[in-house]
Amino acid sequence: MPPLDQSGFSIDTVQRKRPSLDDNMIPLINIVFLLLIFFLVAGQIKNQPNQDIELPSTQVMAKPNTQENKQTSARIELFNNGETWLNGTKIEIENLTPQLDQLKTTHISLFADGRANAQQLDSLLKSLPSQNKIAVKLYTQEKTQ
Amino acid sequence: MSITFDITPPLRRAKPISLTALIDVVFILLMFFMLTSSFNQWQTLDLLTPSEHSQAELAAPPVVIIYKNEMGLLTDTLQRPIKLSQIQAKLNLKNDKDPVIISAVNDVPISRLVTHYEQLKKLGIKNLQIGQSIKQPKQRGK
Repeated sequence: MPPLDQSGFSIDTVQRKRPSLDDNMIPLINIVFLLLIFFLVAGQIKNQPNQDIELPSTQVMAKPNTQENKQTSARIELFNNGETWLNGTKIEIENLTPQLDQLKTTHISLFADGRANAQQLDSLLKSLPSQNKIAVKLYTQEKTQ
Repeated sequence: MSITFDITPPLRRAKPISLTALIDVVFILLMFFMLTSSFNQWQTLDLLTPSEHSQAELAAPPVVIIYKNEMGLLTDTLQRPIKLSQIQAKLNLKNDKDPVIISAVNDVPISRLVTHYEQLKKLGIKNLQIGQSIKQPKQRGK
């Protein structure tokens, strides 16, 4: 029969391992791993538009096609104040056509601020090269119910 | 006389791997994914370029005009505005692939233009094009 301590519990003959500081971190690591897996699975890493741009909301429009050829696609951002940015650089609207011609753009991803007005959108569309057939996709944000 | 070498490695106790280094790396990964991940779902709608507009305008398709201070309005004759729910009947499209142009008054925000665009799409209009923005037309009556 193993020896008993004062409270009546048996004392193991094998020396008990003292809990180290690392052992206390195991629950923390478990939680951090769970969070990491959540963000890996649920989150998407994508090139965000400028934070000042509030995309218009839609419910049932098409999902963006991720297979587009990035070499021939350009990204245009239209701000609330009418500023236009091409591939992350501010550009005057008159210079848009030569730049797009130079880039041989066939697809445009348009991130327009929902507060910008129709006239600003119209002048942007008018400034696009008319002789080439350029597919313009206006990006919107899925409306949350 | 033979010489023998004892090549068996001495028994060593395996050192336990420190979790501190692991948690450091995992924290950095977690921070990276927290800061770069996005949960917003994007959608797209196709805008036609002005060259395609002009082709469509030759066929004189009906035009839906969104006014500044009204809810959802349509006019194909620039007359009295009607409700969005009555648009489909008024448009009288023989084919759902017939073009319809949606135009907004200059000051109308893009978000409203997009909302009406989506509503018209829901009505079954497949060939919907964004037309030029216009000045607020005078309304004859309501």
